[in-house]
Amino acid sequence: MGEWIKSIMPNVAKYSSKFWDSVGATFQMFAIAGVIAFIVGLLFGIVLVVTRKGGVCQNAVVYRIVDIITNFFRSIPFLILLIFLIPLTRRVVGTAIGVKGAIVPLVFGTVPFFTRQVEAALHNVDEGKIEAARSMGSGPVGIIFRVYLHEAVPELARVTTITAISLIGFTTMAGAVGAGGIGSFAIDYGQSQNHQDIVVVCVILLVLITFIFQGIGSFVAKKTTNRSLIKSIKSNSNHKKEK
Amino acid sequence: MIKITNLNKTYRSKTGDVYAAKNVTLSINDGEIYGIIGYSGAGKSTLVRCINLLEVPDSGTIEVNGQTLFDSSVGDDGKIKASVVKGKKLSEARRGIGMIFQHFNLLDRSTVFDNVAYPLKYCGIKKEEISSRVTELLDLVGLSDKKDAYPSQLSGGQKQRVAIARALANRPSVLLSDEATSALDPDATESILSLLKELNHKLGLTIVLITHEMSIIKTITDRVAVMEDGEVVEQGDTYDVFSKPRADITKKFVNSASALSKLDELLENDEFLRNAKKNRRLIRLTFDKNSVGDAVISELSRKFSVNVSIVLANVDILQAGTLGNLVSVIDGREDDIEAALDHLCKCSVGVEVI
Repeated sequence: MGEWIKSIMPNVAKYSSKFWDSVGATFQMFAIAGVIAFIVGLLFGIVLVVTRKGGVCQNAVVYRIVDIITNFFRSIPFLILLIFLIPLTRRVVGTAIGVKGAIVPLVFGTVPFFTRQVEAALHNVDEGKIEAARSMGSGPVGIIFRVYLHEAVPELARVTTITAISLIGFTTMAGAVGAGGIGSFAIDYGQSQNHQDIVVVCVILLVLITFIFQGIGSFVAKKTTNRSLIKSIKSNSNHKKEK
Repeated sequence: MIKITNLNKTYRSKTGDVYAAKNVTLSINDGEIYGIIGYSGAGKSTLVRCINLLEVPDSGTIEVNGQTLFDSSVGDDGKIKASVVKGKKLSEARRGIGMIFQHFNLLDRSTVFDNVAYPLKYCGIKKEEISSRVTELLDLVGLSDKKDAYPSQLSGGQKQRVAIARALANRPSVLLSDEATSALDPDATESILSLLKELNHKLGLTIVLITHEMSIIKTITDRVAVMEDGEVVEQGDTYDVFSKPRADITKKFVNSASALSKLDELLENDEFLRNAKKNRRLIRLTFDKNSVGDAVISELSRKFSVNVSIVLANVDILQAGTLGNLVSVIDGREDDIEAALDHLCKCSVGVEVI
């Protein structure tokens, strides 16, 4: 196996320890930024839905602020955002390079995207269900957890998948400003030194990761969608109409 | 007892203010089925949502079971000061008022059991108690075997039954029904209406029912209010409103629920009927519960030597009794016709010459 890899991908074999380091760095960036972005994005998404006009905690000021922040960071291309945030990153984590330095821009790049997705997912929850919950005496907290989040789980699984895949893309771009990871490995050891095999391996790895994420996401979304739907179609023959 | 006085609610929009409720005063007694009928946009949905404060009115008072949920007074500066029940108290008040909807509004990702258990959870009620209460409720609406089903596996009528069970979970004294049968087929509509009637009898439940269909008002309500453009234009016992509708819109609704709606069409197309000549009249007779059983017509032709031929006839069976309507052509000598019509008036039959 080792010999075979050496023969078709000599440079990958030569820099294998660097390669694995970069995979680890990508994973670290993805995991840390992902968890933070998930929590913050979910929170912002919820805030947007409940504070909007007609929402359960209608608050024009809070809505406006979150809305503007989200729009502002969403409109900046990620590569520009990376550079733009360098001073802030230095202040927050002490450095603007390496994995640590990449976390801040990754979070800033992902949160607005995820926020909008969460907002759309929660927005899709039927207004009537909210009204029914209110009529049963549920307060805002009850409505957020027991109606919005509960009913939107499949949709949230879908948008989390999309966001995770775009975050992987962002981590490779962060490589361009010296964050390490698969992206910078492909540039520094692949493209710069004209080692095409390294670039190919990086591409294959990224495609693989995307496929796995999409698979997991679709599976979760399907599992959580109205669990009975498929069953009900199957058992349609004995599905009796009310007399 | 639900008491609404001088209720006002306006929606502001760019095209001008829309009055959803205009000086509405209603009182709904304990244990009755009260119908509110009107076309869409008449403000009936808003009115019923004011009862559990899903919509907050601009001014007026709302009192449910002795508790004032909304009150307003005009301050010294001429501005309206409103006091609304809020927070925990509002939640508690809402638990005493069940509500069902046109589109059922069940949680799709929860089973029937969990849907019915929704209002019971997080209220400090023990799990076993919730479970037994839900079982009891599903029994009440006849869905015990669907406990573990999901809403998507149920028919419309069954979904509405689940919604009714859910609305009754906290043993409310009032049930608000917002077009609860409008999305159902005729069979399911009938079964839901009879369920509501049964619950009204069994539990002494007060039901406030909104609809745009007069046939529903006819079958189950004790009293009715007719709404148009945010105003209650007519209210009273369903039977009285039905037998002697005053407002134009009420007449329209009453006609819509009986075969007499065809009268206008008939008059338009039938030359013979339209040209009421001498010695012939087109009359409309209304028989109320006291005269509906009498053989008035045959008596008429025997006593007054007039011919009576029936054009249209209709019998409505209402909650409070039977109501008959008859459109007929009366033929004969002028003075015989006059005498016959006089006689009809004496027999407590409503007479209208068309």
